[in-house]
Amino acid sequence: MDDDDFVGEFIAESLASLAMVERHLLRLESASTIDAEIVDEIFRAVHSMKGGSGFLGLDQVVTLSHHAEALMDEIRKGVMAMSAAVADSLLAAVDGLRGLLENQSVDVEGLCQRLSRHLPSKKEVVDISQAMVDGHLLIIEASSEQLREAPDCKDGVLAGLAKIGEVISSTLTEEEMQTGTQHVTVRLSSPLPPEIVASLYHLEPEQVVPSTENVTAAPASSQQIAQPSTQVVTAPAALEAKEIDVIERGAGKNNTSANGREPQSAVLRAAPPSPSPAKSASASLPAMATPQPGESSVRVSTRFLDELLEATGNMVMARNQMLSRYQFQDDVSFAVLSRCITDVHKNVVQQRMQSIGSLFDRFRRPVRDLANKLGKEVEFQTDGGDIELDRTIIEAFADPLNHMVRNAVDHAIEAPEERVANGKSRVGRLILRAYHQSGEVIVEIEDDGAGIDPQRIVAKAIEKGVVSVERAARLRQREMVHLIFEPGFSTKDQSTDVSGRGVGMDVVKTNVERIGGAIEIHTNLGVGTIFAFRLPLTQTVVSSSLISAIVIEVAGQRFVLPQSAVNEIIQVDPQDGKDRIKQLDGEDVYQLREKVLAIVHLEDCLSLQRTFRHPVSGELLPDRRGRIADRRQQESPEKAQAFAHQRKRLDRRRQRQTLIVLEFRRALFGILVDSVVGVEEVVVRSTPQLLSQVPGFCGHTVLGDGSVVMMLDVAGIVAQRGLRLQDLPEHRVEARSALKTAQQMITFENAPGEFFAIPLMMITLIEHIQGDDIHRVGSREFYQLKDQTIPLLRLEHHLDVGSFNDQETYHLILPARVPKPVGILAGGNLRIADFSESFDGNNDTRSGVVGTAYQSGQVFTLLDLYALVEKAMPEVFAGLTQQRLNGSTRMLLAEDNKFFAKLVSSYLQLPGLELTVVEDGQQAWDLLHRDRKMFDIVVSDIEMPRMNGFELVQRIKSDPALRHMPVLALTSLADEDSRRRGLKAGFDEYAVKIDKQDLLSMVHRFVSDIQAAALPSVEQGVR
Amino acid sequence: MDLCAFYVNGHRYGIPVLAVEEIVRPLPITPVPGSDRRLAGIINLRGVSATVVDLRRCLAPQENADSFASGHGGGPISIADLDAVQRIGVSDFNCRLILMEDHDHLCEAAREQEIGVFCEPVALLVDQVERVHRLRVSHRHPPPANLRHNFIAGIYELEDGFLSEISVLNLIDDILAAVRVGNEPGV
Repeated sequence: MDDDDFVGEFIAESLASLAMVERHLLRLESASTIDAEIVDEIFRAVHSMKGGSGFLGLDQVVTLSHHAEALMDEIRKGVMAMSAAVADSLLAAVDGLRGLLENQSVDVEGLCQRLSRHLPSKKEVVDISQAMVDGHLLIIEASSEQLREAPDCKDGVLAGLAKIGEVISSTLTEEEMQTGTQHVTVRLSSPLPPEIVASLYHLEPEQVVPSTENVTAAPASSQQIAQPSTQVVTAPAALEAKEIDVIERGAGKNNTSANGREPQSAVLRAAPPSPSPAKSASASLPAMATPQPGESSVRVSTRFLDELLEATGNMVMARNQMLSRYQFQDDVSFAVLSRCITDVHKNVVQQRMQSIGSLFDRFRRPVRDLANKLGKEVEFQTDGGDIELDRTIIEAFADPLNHMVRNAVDHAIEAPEERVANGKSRVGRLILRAYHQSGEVIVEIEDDGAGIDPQRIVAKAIEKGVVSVERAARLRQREMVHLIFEPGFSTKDQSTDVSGRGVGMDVVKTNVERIGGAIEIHTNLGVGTIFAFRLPLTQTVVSSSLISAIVIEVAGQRFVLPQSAVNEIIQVDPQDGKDRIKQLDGEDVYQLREKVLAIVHLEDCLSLQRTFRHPVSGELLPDRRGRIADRRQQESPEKAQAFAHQRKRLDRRRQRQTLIVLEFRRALFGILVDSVVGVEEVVVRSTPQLLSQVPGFCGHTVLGDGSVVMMLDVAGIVAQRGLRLQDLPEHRVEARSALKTAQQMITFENAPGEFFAIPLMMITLIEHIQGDDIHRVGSREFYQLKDQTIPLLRLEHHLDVGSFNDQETYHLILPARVPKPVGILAGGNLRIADFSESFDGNNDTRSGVVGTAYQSGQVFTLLDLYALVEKAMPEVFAGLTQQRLNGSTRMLLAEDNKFFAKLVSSYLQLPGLELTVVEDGQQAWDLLHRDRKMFDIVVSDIEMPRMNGFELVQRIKSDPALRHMPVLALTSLADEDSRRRGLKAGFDEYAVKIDKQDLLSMVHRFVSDIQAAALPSVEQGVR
Repeated sequence: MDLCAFYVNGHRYGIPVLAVEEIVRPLPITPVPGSDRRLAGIINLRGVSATVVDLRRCLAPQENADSFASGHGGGPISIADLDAVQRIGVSDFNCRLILMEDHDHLCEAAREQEIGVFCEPVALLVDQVERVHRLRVSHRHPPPANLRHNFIAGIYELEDGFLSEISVLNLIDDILAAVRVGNEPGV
């Protein structure tokens, strides 16, 4: 390795460790207690940097890192606390170091002074560079006996040495030197030349040599030496040995002049290992473990990586082709080969991927600095940082995100006083979040700031001439907000150095669109704003990575669709009377449950001739009825119209067709294809340049049979057909915060003054009904709702509550997720209210009641609809609750919402099930960690403070002793995507909180599995 | 200069041999709906994807030219086309695919002679491959002014008739230009 390479490696390595140091410093600053491990890590990083730079002769880096290290050392030893001022200085030093590494001019002296100021006054940092100028840096190699007998060392060797200079390090402690004859290496900074030192201590001249190192070492103050047990092999010694080792290896090849160092390094390596696990040892040993430049990492060009990736992609495809052609099942060597190919491919793809968390973390610092500068308080959170994207996408994303983050701190989040005045918490919140959704990766920036005022935006836009007054008057709220993306728009008049340097949101928008993304804004005045960047999956995964695809056939040609975009596949039989393809305004639509979906004929989309297979001959013939009237070639309008009309009518000659329901940005639409051929794992290749302009495709692949097929691009189809898919609701911010902080409840009054509440999500329907419409059969009451007869339930019959007087009108409440319809009769004063979590769940053991809550001067009884229904009509849940669990199973439930904790534990009051409830993932983990055999099964909520469900499951699944324990997720969201995400995170199953049936059957399934697994081992134990 | 000669629509054309990677019997070609008509589709040859340029369409006689000259998306592929796709490589025995070198793999000699190739793999679909002719560049005539195709680099006069040298790079630029025009918003 030549010098330039080495310097390059060092710089790359150091920049990476500086980023780490910065991250850790920020974390330390915000943490309430000092995490010793993190402090150690920072210390080690700064320390290795000092060592490395000293070796390379980067004096300024040495000086600055030395001072930073000294300060870190004090913190590490607990002498000093980590204050904001200290953090500031350290961060400034990090910036300085980065600047130095990037060849900028840095005021090293100023930074050093700043760092030194924090140090306790009696401890002066020994400026090693200075020592180099003023004196000699000497290495003394001797036996402890020799030193002990030296005339000046009657009162202790180190004390004696201290008389002639500064002891930098010693491989032995004073105590150890007082007995026996061990070899010791002492490094000394002294004004005396080596010969004199040798004669003073009666040593041979070769035993005292000048050190060739430019610099070293933690300052060894006299105090340190006086404490015998702390001084062992110091970190630099170990570090240096390591590095010289590296160099030597290089020297073996090209014989560079490492000769001068050789004897020294040999001695150092020969030095006995540190005998006592003292403090400084803990610093030196891990320092050895940290990767040294050139040893454990190799930098390769991205081009090389791309070629490797392509080659491995081809390997996978070829393997798949072989699999489809030959029978290899029994061939062990092929199985091994196959697995290796998969592994290699996965690893290579991994090299191109980067977790978005690394990008998120980059903003931690700017947010902090910016907030300080603007006098704001901002809490910075990230979520979903483990989502991995192609590195190039991450890089392309950095600038837009930077702009948005700065904007949020500068414009959106209010000053603390203003926030308090508006009834918000002092500290503003900024969340960067990433998640997968229907084939897209979504990156969100959420703030709980002032929100965007559409009127102000419009006013500004008119003023800036971005929009005309006439046009502005016709804009809808949404469109108004979107004006901020117009070129030439910037809300602050004065451009600050914080944000708004003229490059505005329009640049952000263009940048995001360049990588195939789109931006959405959800804002709520006074509540906050979410900016959502949506990136199609095909953009975010590396080309040549493996994805699961659905192979379809249309007009005799095959295509693939990314499976992540496919929501559902439906067989459509036009002959069938239930055919739900209908014409609406001349377009085909499909009725899917309660939704009406737009249908796209894929042939039209791809300018293919619609074909049909002749029922007798099986030939592929043009479908003349569905003849495409190409809009570009209209000969006569009448004819074209006739064609168009004809085209819209579904061809009844067609045999069965398949409707593929695609999900795009949370909206659904269908494409009609001839058939689905199958599902295959494919390696996506990018579209060749000559074909890249063709709309509707996002790549191509080679199937197992060796044929090339194009991959359809869902976004492209949407754009090409001009589909206007319904956007997500505007009130998302509101809804989401409601979910987190409060529970939406339906409240009603039965007997005067008696209020009840039911969570909104437990209800499917509320109807206003007339008392006359209630039918009585014996003691039971029924209500006819459309074509269903619904048995009714009165609270006063089942709970100890007052009855209401006969009324003319009632409310009928239908619970969600019960197997058979049941209605609950409710009185008047029906309202929706947000309940905070301040409810009392302990003093009420009545079945059917979860607890009581106090809200705006009234007491509400919180109902558990399921327990109520079960109590009143056991037949509804027949067969389910009576299932007994055999033996005893210990379950841990983690749920932060008290209401749900109560509700779910009431569901789980089963014989043989021992339930422990904790409030969050951290508590759960603490329990699990303390005794790994304490629980058999874990049920966890997803959204929890401190440690969320995803993190909890990841920890459990990465602990060898806990890995096999089933972990079930509980969620209030029932959609497929959350489920997929949950399963991906490692959950074994996923249940909706309020779905008792689902939850119970799931628990039953896993518990019986556990018991089945446990039985044999119990028997073994007996034997 | 060595030129590889082949026939398209009954006429003889040639490209520098150094630009040719290999000549193969037709493989199944996957058409890409909506692409320029001069592009037959994509093939997969030993793990490399190549775009197939159908020279028969590029060099179609004047009267047929309008059907594709308007650029991409000139209408649905007809059943006849579908048949043609299926026919390629099965019955048309003399048909060949000439796989061109891509820019990164071009040999040194070719670079010295300034032979231009595209940056990614491209294959030419021709009716029949003839043989390699060794010709002097100094014998190359500029293309007659009335030739329609601007990708003809020059004409050689051989004993048995003419040979037109095709500049593949110009041809591809032509297609790329048409594709871009075809994709401009509003077209």
